[in-house]
Amino acid sequence: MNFKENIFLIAFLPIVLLLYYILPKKARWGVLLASSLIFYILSSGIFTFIMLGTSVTIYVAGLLMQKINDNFKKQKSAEGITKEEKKLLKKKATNKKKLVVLAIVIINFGLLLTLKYGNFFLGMVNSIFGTAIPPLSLILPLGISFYTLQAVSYVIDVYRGTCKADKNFGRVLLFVCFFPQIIEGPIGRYDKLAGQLYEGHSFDYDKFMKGLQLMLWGLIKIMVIADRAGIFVSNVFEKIYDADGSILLLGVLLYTIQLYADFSGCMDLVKGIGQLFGIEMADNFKRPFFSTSVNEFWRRWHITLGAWLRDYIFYPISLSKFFANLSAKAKKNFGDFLAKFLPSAFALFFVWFINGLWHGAEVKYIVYGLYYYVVMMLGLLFEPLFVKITNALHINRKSKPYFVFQVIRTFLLVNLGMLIFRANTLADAWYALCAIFSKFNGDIFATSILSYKLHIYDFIVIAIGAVALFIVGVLQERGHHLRDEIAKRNIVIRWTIYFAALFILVIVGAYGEGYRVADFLYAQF
Amino acid sequence: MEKSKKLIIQRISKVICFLLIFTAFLGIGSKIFIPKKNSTEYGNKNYYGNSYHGERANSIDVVVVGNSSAYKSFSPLELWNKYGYTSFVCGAPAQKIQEGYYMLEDFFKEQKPKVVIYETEGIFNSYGKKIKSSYSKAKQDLIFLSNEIDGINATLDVVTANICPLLKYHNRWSSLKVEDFTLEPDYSKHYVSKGYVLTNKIKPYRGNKNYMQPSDYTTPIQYTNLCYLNKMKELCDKNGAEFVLMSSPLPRAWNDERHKAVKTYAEKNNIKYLDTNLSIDEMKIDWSKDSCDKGYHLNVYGAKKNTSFVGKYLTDNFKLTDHRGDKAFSQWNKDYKSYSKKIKKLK
Repeated sequence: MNFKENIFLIAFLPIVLLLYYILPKKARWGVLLASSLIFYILSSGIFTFIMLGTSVTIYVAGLLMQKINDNFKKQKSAEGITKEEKKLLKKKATNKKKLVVLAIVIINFGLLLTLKYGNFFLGMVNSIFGTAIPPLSLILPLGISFYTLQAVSYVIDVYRGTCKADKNFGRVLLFVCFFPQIIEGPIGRYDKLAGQLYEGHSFDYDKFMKGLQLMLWGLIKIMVIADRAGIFVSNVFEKIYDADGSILLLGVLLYTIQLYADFSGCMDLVKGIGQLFGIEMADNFKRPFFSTSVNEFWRRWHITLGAWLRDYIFYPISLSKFFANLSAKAKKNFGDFLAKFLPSAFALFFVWFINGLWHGAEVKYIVYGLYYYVVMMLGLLFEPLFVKITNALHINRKSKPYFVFQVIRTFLLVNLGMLIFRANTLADAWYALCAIFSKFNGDIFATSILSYKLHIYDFIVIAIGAVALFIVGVLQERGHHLRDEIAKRNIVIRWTIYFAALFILVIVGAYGEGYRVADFLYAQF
Repeated sequence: MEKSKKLIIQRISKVICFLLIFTAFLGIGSKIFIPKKNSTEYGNKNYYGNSYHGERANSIDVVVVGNSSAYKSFSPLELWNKYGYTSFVCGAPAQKIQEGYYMLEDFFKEQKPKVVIYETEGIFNSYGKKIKSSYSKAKQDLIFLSNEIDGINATLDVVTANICPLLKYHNRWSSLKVEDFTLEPDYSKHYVSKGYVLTNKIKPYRGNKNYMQPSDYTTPIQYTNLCYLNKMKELCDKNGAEFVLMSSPLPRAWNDERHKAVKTYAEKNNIKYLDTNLSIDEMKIDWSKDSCDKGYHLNVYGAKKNTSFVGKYLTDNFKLTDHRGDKAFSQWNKDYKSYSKKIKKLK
């Protein structure tokens, strides 16, 4: 089931909302759990047991760790126990908890690796050893890449003491499978989300209306801009070797717009749905194309994935004893700069390798992740040099023109990443990149642009849509809260805006005859 | 308390007003966006399938409903020429069974056919992924479930588009004309081919000639499709027409697994079923000449043979009248002449 389909919008969601608000507050979380399970079963059938299995493992792990903690506390408070013994008990308890976390990580990531990457690794084995092991018939359960990260984060948070183990299995299960977030995230954290899911929210008219508005905005982004741009992008990348460099350049730019509009639009939909139930979910986008560096871009794009990798991969590695020692040695031998740089460089390598691999079982995704790693490392390494150069040229690094330069530079670097991400193979990406510079012919562009199944009016719609996204972005960057500001206007202005948005969606939306309901792009990862 | 009551009433009124304005917009929009004439220039891409509005009322004996397999396999004017029965193909590219149902419902408003034939490829190919016998049971069940959701979704799409044509024709926004704001819809334009889409292209089918070889597996029919098959049968019963299922020769799309599914359904519901795939030799279908796209569809030569065979079946099973000598049907003779000329021209 897709959030933009009729079955969801005019059947599933209204029924769930109605049940949620007519039942007593105490039972409301039950509605969310039941509807989430139905949503999941309808999408994954018998394979729902895989998600259930994950939920059971993290639930049991949470309880086990809680038990270890309780035992430790009991033993610690026993009479006549020495400091040394307490230390030993703590060490024992920590080791036991570590074992539990390790088991959970192995089980759940093992499952993810097998189902998502099984055939990828098998292919590698075949090509290395010259074997001919046939590919496995594997099915990827809905949202496994997202809910696995979310589930593992719960266990680590319990281990760290960020949250307490939940004794209610239903609550843990709901945290894992809450239907709005199951397709594309955001990857929630137990301490921020679980309580909200469990608490029965009263109907809040203003919040409900804001949720609907956010959903409308998300649908416009997806159906007016992304799905339309997607038609051109698919056709260009299908016939990459026939296309002129100018067409390929436009294809890459439109893919960047498509992916942003699709993914951020889906997140608006998800957040909007959450708000209908009175639930606030984590932000996943914060106007990424206003970033002045690739580093910043990744703090604004798919925020919850970045935060997960930071909290559960980067910090544990960079703050580990091994890296602390390495840093100390580097400080002695190479100075302050490298002492700081080396642990980060090592830890970030894992972060970006995993980030790339998380997106898919293909070499191009690993290269995609490592591309950002290289760009960031080069940025860090050459930062002192850049400062020197700009100072020598008397360039004010805080001036507006320099900001614009940085934003454009980041945008171009991101587009290069998008090319790797979208091309069918690395060879295709390399060809397209070369063709953009060596096979660029404006005349061919003019004559062939309409042969990619998009009418000139569609290009105009995409262009207007992109400008609208930009203007909204600028206003939000300046601190405007558009929905609140619209809500303060008189009814004529307010309704004019709402109706205009609805008309745009109904009339210009890429749906119905001639269009296929496209899956959300990030749902495949 | 009074204040909060007032606020609630105010909010409910606002919501109702908003919905009323939106409904009015959908209604006005539908009036504007619906194609005003039955032609591509006016935005009616499927003008051939809709052209039954251009036929004399109550003049059609047989109607064939279905997707491209229907409108490329069955030629009403060939049936006319050989048997004198009047027929029409209510088809559309990739027509969903739900669309076929509503088209038939509309057809009954103007015509009283004695026989309604549903081309069965649409039962399996209207949406969703194909279920293959080689898949594991779990995978088959998952695809079946996913197709079922798609089926319900397709039903909602078709029903909402039926209620509000703006949702179907909104893509005309860039080609609206002044007439769209002034004219009332008029689909009475007469088309010669009666829903048949003529193609004389030859792209031979070189695959397995024995594509109907028996299989242990039976392709499951989606519940949504079963439901619409039942609805079609009920509609036919209500209008006094006999409902028949027909599978056209389609080596790329048809097989024993599908045949058995339809046969079982037909037998269970006491519906006549004709699978012409079982009579390829009798029809003298030559796969090196009779397909326009390597076995996915028939061309005009294949359609001629298939129609002739269906005509014989109709003669054997129903009491249909030969109208060839009837002056009231003289237009059919004229149409056949135009049709023949067109075929000659294509050669």
